Amino acid sequence: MKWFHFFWVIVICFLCACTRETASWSAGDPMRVEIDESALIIQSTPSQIRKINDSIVAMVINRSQLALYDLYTGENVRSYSAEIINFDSLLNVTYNHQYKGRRQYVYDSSSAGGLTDGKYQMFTYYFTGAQFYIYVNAQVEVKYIDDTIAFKKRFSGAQMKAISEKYKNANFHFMEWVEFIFIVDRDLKLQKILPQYERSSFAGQYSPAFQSGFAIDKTDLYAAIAPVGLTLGKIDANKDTPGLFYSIAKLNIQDEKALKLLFSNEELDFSPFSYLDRYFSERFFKNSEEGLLFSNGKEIWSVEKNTPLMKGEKLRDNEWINSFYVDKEQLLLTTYTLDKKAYQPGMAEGKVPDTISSYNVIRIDRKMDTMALKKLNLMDFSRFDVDRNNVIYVERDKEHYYLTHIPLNEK
Amino acid sequence: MLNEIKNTTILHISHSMKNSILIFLVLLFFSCQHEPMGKALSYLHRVADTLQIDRSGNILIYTINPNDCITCLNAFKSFDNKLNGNSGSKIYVVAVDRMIERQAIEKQTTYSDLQPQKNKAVLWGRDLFDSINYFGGVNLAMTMVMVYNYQKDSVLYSKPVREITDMHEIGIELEKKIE
Repeated sequence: MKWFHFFWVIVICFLCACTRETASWSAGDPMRVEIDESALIIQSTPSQIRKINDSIVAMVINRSQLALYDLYTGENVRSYSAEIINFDSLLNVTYNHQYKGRRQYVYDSSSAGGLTDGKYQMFTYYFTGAQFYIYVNAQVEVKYIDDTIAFKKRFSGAQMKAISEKYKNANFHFMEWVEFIFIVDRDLKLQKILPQYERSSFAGQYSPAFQSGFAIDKTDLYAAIAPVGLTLGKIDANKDTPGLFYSIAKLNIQDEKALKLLFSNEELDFSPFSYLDRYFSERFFKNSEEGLLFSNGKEIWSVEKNTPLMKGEKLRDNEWINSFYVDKEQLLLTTYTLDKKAYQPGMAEGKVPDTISSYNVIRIDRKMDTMALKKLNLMDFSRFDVDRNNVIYVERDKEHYYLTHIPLNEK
Repeated sequence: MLNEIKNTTILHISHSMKNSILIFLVLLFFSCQHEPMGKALSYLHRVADTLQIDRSGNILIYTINPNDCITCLNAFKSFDNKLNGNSGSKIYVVAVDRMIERQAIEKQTTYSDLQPQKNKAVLWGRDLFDSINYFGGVNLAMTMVMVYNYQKDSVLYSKPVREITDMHEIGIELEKKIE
């Protein structure tokens, strides 16, 4: 009888264990629609894919247009192009007015657009829910009329010194990027253009790298930054020096003097970053239930609270984040892994970009601290977005581009 | 008698066979391409073989990625403009696969030099672009300038446009006479 009772105790315990409910997560099969190219022909992989509502995805196409597509039909709903802007006039009322008497900016369509004589480049945008803030730049010639400091700076690099020594009577033409943030509403109608002049508050140490990523929060403008006075070689050599360099700047769209540097190498761990990783890793901002978040490709931090949500140890050495989603329960990441190129003929050693070997979706349960991973069957380079319900990316074959989404389900 | 006829016939057939075999070997020899002993011809040589261009001098080759940086594409346009006086042959290779994209570029570009002309070939294709770049020593999608000698099947000069600081070096290689 004792054995009989013992047997039933075991069975009851087993049943109790089995009836405990556990949440599980799964990623479905890719669902693919051909992207409508009747109005806008895609000439390279679209950049900065972002889902802006349940069915609409925004992307930058051909470095020249912000386009909205239906995720489930691939239809091009609408697009914004700055082609109608007269950049000559724009320069006159902005840069030439700002630097009057010191510099003259001259716009030439043959140098502004590469092969197609386009007028500008469009790289990144930030959607606030009501408006799109779009980063646009154009290459123009600058003549230094009475700006000795800026003129001398042009000749401060080793390469320019060597050229000016070799060609003593040369006539130099200086090209520069003029930068703007275009504000368009949800219907992609232009509202305003904000020129982004040099900010003296950087004191020559950094410049904003809007093309890497930026965000808007009322009048605050957060931007990834690139070191100017501090070379990447010096950063690499001294990466353990606390506070040596910063990753982003908090600016203000109304006050050009406002500046706060954020996320130094004391806070973010840059030890896994090679020289090239600093150029090629994805740096971007995303909004969430927990406010504005920033990723440098390895970690995710809260901008407002200055605290980490995820540190780099969660990823493999050669694994990098290209999109994420955060809520109270989970962190969803899309990542890529790199194969290191040891040597490439014709290129300096250590200066060759690595190749992407795989893409993954990772779910981190924030309460249980568990991870689940799905490897994506994708051969070509792509950009990603992820939210609670979907992973979204673009694929291509010989003839077409496709908008693909993978449903994410919590069972 | 019969044996004599037989022997004569066999001798005659034997001579005929030998002559036939000899003729066959001569034809076989002349049907083969003249290749340098011990060296297979390169992919670039085979591509150049198919083109209606003069292959006697050094050939200027541009491999163009339309999605390359604006500065790189401007540099390519500038080099092409300056080297236009050179009367040698040119090959342009554009890294575009789809006809729809090619038509869009041809429609939008104000850069007139993407049209074939006498002694100038314009080729389209991403695989072709990658293969020729690789032959030029670079395994990346960069816009490149190369100087190629068909007779020797060798690349005399090859650089991404973004790295060229002195255009005269290209001109010098174009003028080089290879013995």
